[in-house]
Amino acid sequence: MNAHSNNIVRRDLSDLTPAQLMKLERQIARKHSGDFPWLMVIWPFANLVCWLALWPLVLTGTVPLWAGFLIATVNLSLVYLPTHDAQHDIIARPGQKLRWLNELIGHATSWMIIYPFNVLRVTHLDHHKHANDPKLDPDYTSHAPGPWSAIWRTLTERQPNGKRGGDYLEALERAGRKDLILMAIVYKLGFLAILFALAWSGFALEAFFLWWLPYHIAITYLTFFLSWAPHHPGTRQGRYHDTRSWKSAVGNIGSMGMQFHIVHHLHPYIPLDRTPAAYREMRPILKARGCDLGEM
Amino acid sequence: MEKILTLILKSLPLIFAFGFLVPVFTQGIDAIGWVPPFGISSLVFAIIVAGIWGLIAQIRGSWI
Repeated sequence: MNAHSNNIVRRDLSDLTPAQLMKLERQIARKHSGDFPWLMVIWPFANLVCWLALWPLVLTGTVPLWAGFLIATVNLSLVYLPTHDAQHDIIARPGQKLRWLNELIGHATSWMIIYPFNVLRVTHLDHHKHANDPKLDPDYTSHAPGPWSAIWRTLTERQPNGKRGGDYLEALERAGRKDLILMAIVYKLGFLAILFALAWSGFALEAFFLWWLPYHIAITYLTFFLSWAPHHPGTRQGRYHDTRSWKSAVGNIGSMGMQFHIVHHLHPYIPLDRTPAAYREMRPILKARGCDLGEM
Repeated sequence: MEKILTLILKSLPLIFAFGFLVPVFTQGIDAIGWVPPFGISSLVFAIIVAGIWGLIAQIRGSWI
């Protein structure tokens, strides 16, 4: 399979039919999926333990609050991606032996960014289904003409009159999961209740710098790199046109692997850490399909 | 239950202002050692600032 795939990379594909291109694309995708994604199992629990440990360390003065704030911001920025792989059943599909682990990864960590796991899953799968559709893509509100306006928009969309929350509720309704709306409200009010309790117990600054502010920085960062950048300009729809590959100024790790987001939309069962290799092999096929490959 | 929940959700800017911003401002002022003007306490100052900001956010639908 490996040698065959390398041949695909080197040869001219212009003579192949769409069906033949699809067959080759699927062969490469299968090659990069199926292995147990250890990274996505260790990452979420290490991140969760690190963030939880910050609280006693900061409250007892072992770690200064400024350092706790920096670490917490990294922690909360790292929450989403393992849940994202779990949303796509990459750790284990329904019916498989380790299915419980897939679900545990999602449920055990998504609360840190104030989302029930199943809300993330339903709305994200809806995004895949309707990417760049102004009416049906629940992430459409992250679209913006440039990077600064994208950052500003993610802030304005989180305001009480923002449209994004309503788009997520509509996606849940379309999926027949109205039950998750109440769950989302419970998470939000629970978050506020914890913040208020900490604040009025004399730990307002700790609550602010270890959760509230890191949460908002993380959501801004995540929306920018996971939603705006890989879909920009977001004017086209369809399998090979609703996302792109792009060169990030902060590199692949700094942009959380999203330079190769096009591979994820085409084959969402490929683990995050395998998308760069899959992209490199698929590139001639994607080029033949007329994808926006940027400078990658 | 639904009416109470709706009322809470609609009033979140004001609830957030008094539930979180007031203690954050109070403890922030005390932490940096700043003394509010006109002899008012840090708590009263925080209630005034957070209350006004929360009220504006409540009416405008935006904190920024």
